[in-house]
Amino acid sequence: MSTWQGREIVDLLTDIIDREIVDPEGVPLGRVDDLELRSRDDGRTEVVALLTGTVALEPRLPRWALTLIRASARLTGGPDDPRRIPIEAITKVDTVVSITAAAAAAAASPSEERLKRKIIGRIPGADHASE
Amino acid sequence: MRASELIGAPVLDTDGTRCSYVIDLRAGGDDGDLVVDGLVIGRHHWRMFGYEHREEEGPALMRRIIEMLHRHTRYVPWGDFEIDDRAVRLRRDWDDLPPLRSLRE
Repeated sequence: MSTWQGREIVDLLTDIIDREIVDPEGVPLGRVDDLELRSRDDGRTEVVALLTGTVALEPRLPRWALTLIRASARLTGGPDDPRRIPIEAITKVDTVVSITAAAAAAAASPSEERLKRKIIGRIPGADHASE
Repeated sequence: MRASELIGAPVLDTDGTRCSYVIDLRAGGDDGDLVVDGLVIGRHHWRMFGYEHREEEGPALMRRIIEMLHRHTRYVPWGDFEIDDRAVRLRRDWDDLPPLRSLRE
């Protein structure tokens, strides 16, 4: 039987969705909030990308949580479009989903970058002042 | 299509009555691609725990509890259902679908 990442069976919700995404150094980038699927010419359906970001998570959230999430996203200048990580960028799946350095750079969170620039960066000592 | 459009979707039996929900999408490798082979469907919205895989043997007691919780969980191969307006319509009767457990034996 053919395998994927060394597994014969991959249950998408159990094994991939909600797992943390990390770069090659183990730095967390977010969670797998959804998966993009595509119909192939042979009629089968394949997974083509991981989706991460609050907008990608919204379809699985209850209505009351959506209000809170959207309000907090607006505070950081969002909400942003889901970030898409091609399935080919996955290097390993265990308790976390590891991806390549190039994919990790492309999948950096815009809201996190804005938060660093606008708030964290203005805190005295935030720019490694002790070094 | 996104996985979230299927996960949690109601499943209709061949006579049109709602019989279960989509719990998970079961996939496998196909020449480097990750291809969906079928759906895991069940009477309840309970998620699976990972011990349902043969290669992930858990503590015996935990396995027994999970097997009991998922005794009404079934596997329906791609092609034995159609997706119809955010619902999954079975082409085979629910009673004819194999229990999830039998796939690991």
